[in-house]
Amino acid sequence: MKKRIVIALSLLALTACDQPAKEVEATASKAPEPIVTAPVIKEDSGYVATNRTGKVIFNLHCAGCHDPGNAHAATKQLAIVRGKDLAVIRQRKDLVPAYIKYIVRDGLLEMPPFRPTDINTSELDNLANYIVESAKAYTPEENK
Amino acid sequence: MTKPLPQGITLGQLNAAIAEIEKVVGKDYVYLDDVKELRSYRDPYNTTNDADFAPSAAVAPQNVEQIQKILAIVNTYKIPIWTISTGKNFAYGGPAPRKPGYVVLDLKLMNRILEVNEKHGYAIVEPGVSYYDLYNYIQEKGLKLWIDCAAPAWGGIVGNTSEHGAGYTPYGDHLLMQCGMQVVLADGTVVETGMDTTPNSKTGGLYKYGQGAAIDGLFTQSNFGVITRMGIWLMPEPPGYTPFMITLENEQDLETVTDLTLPLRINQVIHNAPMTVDLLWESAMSVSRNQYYTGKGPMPDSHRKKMAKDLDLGIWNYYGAVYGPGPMMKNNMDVIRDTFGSIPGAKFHYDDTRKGDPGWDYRVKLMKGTPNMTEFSLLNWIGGGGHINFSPISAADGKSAMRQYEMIRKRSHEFGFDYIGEFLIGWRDQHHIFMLMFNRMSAEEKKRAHDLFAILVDDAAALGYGEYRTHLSFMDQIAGTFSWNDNSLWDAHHAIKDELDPNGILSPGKQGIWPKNLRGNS
Repeated sequence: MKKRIVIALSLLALTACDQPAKEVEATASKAPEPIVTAPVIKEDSGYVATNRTGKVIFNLHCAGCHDPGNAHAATKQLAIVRGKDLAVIRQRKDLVPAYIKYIVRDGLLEMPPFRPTDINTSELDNLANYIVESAKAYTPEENK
Repeated sequence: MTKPLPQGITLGQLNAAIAEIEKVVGKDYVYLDDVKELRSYRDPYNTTNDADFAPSAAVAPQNVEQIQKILAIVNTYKIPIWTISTGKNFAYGGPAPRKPGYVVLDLKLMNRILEVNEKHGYAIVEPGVSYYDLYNYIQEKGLKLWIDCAAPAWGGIVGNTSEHGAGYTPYGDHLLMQCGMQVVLADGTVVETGMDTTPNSKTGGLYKYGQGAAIDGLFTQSNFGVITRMGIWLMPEPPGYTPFMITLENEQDLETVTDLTLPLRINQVIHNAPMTVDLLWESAMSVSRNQYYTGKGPMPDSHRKKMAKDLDLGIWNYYGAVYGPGPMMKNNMDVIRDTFGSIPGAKFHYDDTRKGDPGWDYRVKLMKGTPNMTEFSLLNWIGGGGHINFSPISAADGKSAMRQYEMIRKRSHEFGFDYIGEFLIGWRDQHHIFMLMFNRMSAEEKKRAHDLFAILVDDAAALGYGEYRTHLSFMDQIAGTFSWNDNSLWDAHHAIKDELDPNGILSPGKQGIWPKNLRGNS
């Protein structure tokens, strides 16, 4: 069995991961160029760590549960257990970066932890600062 | 904390392998710190202990060549690795490995969208691409394509499809929509499946089967290779979309609504996979259990009825959608209204009256492939997040659905847990998802949940039902129920495993498939 697989594979060129996908004949002009969504991979010097902004990280990983409104699981739960003033984390003035970073990596109750491949160390700093700065800039409706 | 080690491996051997892997991927992409890094690779919602699934390390390669080098190293040291992509497989184990000490092969950094073809409707993606990533890309480019995402949508295309996951648009059977993949075998050989096997292939994303045996399925829910790229078909944005919901008043209506659905579904009057969602699942999108009941054990009927009335929900809540040009949708909706309107008490709901209800809003999003996280509200039901999914397949048949529902509800109540569930009608089958929620701060409750799950596996098997997917803890038990002809299917899996991965390095124990050196030890 193994032998047959090896023979079959010898007909294949190993496809380097950083090659563009093969063009499809019927595609209007040419295959779209590869799109880099987060890490930047350079062909010559290898991998370069990303340093996405806190806002980008928040929207990608946090907003789904932590944005304001009852469609967001964490906001809803925090409103119940901590009260509505502490429900929206981008409006909370009691959070400090060290605490945010710990919770992101370790999880808390309903929230699972986030891995260093989801959010790297520098991005975690950016995220924590973004949450704290957003909260500083936030003015409750009744004070506006 | 003592470093967890794979069975039969010394700390010296592990360290030597890690030192070599660091030279391949760089120290920044080898995670060894148990507190600061590796705790993020655990499954926080398990029914036993984190230590049962604690990795010794995690490594994050960035390309195929690095994966090949890592495989060569772990083959030399015979160290098991556990492959994950986006690692959000919660309810089934998340990113955690089957046994302590495995090294997690985390493919999240391989996250390029290699191609999106608008004309033919497909994408080719790497394992780290999440549903949010692909959706955002399509929106940014203004392409007239939909994705079909899991709920919650922070998971990814390769991981979810490999786990036989389901979605909610007409493209909801994800593996059916998969077309071509690239796989690295344990010996480092790279394989393309399907049409991309031909030189200068121009049809890799278009035709699934290629020539000869179609082997893509071998690499799903298995440990025969590392998938590094996958094609997935995407639905063209339709000219129209009509989601609907039907609330049903009685438990027995599950039987009727299921029987009425089958002909509409397999004749494609209803275009997507309709869902019959129980009251508690639906309510959990808006409220928590203790807002209605603070006692112990399952919520009593009187409280359930009040909640249903308050939230304008049924005991069952049925969701579906039709897609296409207006006249076509109108015809289909007429048939659907006539069919289900025959159920006494059935009430139709649409956007005009339901918009703003989180339960309705997230289903509307899912049925058009808009990623969201609202379903995570289920974790608020009792709070704390502990959950595990029991997921047997049922026939799309009323009596079968009722039998399965009654069996699970009876057992869950017997063990003091709420029945929280939904049926998702694929084509001829139903995925029945029982969301077993428990207080993960209580060791007693975790054990009770664990024991319940184990009994449900046996109860379901006795009635002729098997599960489509499961948590790490129950992979062996469930593999044992697929036992026809003296376990001949798993014998076949093991024969393939031994041939392709003789050192047993790839995800040992995944779905109950063990390499020969570990068989009998699990």
